[in-house]
Amino acid sequence: MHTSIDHAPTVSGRRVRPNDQRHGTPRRILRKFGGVPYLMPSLAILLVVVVAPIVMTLIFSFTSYSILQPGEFVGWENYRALLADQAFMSSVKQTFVYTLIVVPLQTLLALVIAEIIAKRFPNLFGSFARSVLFIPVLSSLVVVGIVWRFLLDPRAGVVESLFRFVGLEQPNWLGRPFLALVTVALVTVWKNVGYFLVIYYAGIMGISRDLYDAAALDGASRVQQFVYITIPSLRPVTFLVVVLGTIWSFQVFDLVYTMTGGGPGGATTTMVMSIYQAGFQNYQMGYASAMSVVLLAIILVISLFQRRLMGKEK
Amino acid sequence: MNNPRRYAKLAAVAAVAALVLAGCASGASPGSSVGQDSKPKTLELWLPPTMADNGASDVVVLGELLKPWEKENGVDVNVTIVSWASYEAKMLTGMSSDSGPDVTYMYNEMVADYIKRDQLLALDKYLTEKDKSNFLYLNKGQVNGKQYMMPYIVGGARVMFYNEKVLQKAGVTTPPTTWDEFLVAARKIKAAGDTPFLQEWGNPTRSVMNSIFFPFLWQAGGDLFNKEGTATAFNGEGGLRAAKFLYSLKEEGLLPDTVTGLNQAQARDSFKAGDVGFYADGDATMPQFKTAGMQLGFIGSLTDKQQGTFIAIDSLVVPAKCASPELCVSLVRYMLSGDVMKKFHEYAPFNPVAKDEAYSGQPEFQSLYQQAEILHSLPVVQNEVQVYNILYKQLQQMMLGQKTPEQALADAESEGNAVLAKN
Repeated sequence: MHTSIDHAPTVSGRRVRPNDQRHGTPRRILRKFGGVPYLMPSLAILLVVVVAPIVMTLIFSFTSYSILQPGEFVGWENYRALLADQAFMSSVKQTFVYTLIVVPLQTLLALVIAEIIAKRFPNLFGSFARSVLFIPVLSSLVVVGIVWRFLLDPRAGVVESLFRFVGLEQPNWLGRPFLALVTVALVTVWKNVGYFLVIYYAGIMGISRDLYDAAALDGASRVQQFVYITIPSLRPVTFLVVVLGTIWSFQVFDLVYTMTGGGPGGATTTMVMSIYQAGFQNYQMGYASAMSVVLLAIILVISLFQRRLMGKEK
Repeated sequence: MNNPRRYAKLAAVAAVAALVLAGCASGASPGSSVGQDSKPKTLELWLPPTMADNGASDVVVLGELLKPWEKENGVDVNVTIVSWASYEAKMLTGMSSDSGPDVTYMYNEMVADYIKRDQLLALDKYLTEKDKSNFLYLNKGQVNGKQYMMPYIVGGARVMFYNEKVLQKAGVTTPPTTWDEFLVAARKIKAAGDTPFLQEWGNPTRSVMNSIFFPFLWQAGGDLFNKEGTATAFNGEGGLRAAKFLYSLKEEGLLPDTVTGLNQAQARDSFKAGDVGFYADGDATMPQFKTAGMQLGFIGSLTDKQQGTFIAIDSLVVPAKCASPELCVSLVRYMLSGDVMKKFHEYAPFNPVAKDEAYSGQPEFQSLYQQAEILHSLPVVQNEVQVYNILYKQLQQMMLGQKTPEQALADAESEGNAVLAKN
């Protein structure tokens, strides 16, 4: 005897599909919760890896936790100490300076190079160039830091040899305070530009050719087309690039750790470097947690501000 | 209850609450396995690299050395070599997460903080009378009257190497012995067109002060902390004298400007390149300089008010989490035994630590190690790592010209004493 769907048996007046009959109650229960159960594995990972550590950090920031021993509740003491901590304030300033160098430079470079590759080299060479520029993105930050440290050796590095070849004296790249920060920032730009280049390239390829053809007919030069067509059309992409670049800049640690260790004289100590020093060298994990919360707040404020700015321009 | 969003929210809140409660409830539980005398099948042994400078693999050599002990005790020893740069951080995270070692290596600057937090086992009751009579430096391993450390590496004396060719070219016929003679020799080397002196003031880690500052501090009659370990002492007459001496070397160009950007590896390579007169480093680096073809000499210690230089007395310790203290101490005793240490010292030339081993280190340095009065190891003071980081940063700012020696030491003293006041 066949049971067709049209005459499927019902339970409490609701039609029950044959599969429900075969699989019974559990499938019905799953459907009752919508798609939530299917999200649970990813949600669990997100909670464990992201949400729980943030909440725990917030809790630890109100304690004198030292990793090796549980801490006591100290209220706002850690935050008060942060306000009076000149070294931490220096690290905040240095992080902002680093970000102000890195983000505009890597955004502009990525955009210009993407434009050149998209418009002038839409061929095998363009693909090759994009691949080559993406290689630093794939490299480990630690390896990049160590290699660049050796390239910039003030007495025997490759860069020093080039300077000597052209008869110039090489700057002490990692031995002067502000120059060391700029040098680390430039290495960051070198590493990141390939990533944002790929994003911009995809964005440029998505702009309608008709706009450029029309502009060319009206006598617009390439620069005018770039300024009045490309840049406005890439506003959402630029927003993404700037936000990502800003967040990454505030998180910088590996390069600083391997290239300068935060020196010379604390000149390249960024906020995350300060957090590392407080937590792992000074055994003040509660204090380091307070620093982390402040860092999170700063990044949130900046991201909201950028979002608002982009929204207003729309 | 047909709203999936509501279920999702409830599930998320419940999960976060559970995770937070679990996280707060766990955390460090020091000594959780102390007292359980069950015999483990594996012991974790963490050590820094000590043989790489001489071209050997620590893991391979130690693996061979430990085989007889493993066979006798039916226990595998898992050797982990941790790089110097990340040693303190890895030790901290390992010990706090109960995934740390059963036996490990610590240097003096690390120990006080772990002892204060009950992370290390006092070994007094496990040492036999034979141990006490055999080991040479047991007193160096005592903190607060208890034996927490078993000295393992005694050596690494910092000496002033000199390139004989560079000195001869400059007309320096005898190596200097005092600060004044050093200045004269350095000026002659500079006049001859070579680099008089190199120091790695751009090194990311503060441990280079063992070579670039502490010997000068002790030679000038200064010290790091007061006897009680409750206050810093480097901003005294000796400390100022040492800081001003180094500052003047840079001002006069006897230390090039580039030193603020040099790390240790780069400084060593520069010395090997053959146009540098003087460079201070550990005695264990002599073989690599000789391999580079250098005609090398060394000065054990210059003299100002007195002689003084750094010596490492680093130790094996047993963390409190070791499941079987007797087994862990047995491993330590085996590693420190004469036969094992003799083979170890073939690859890592340090001093004997017990009477059952004859000196087999580099013969050039044997007489230096007999001058115990001029050899200084770092004291065991709680939070001293933080104080050294502060001092290093201030001295770097001095060498950058951002601060005078007086300002740098005063600021280091102020910040350092604030840290020690929390003890």
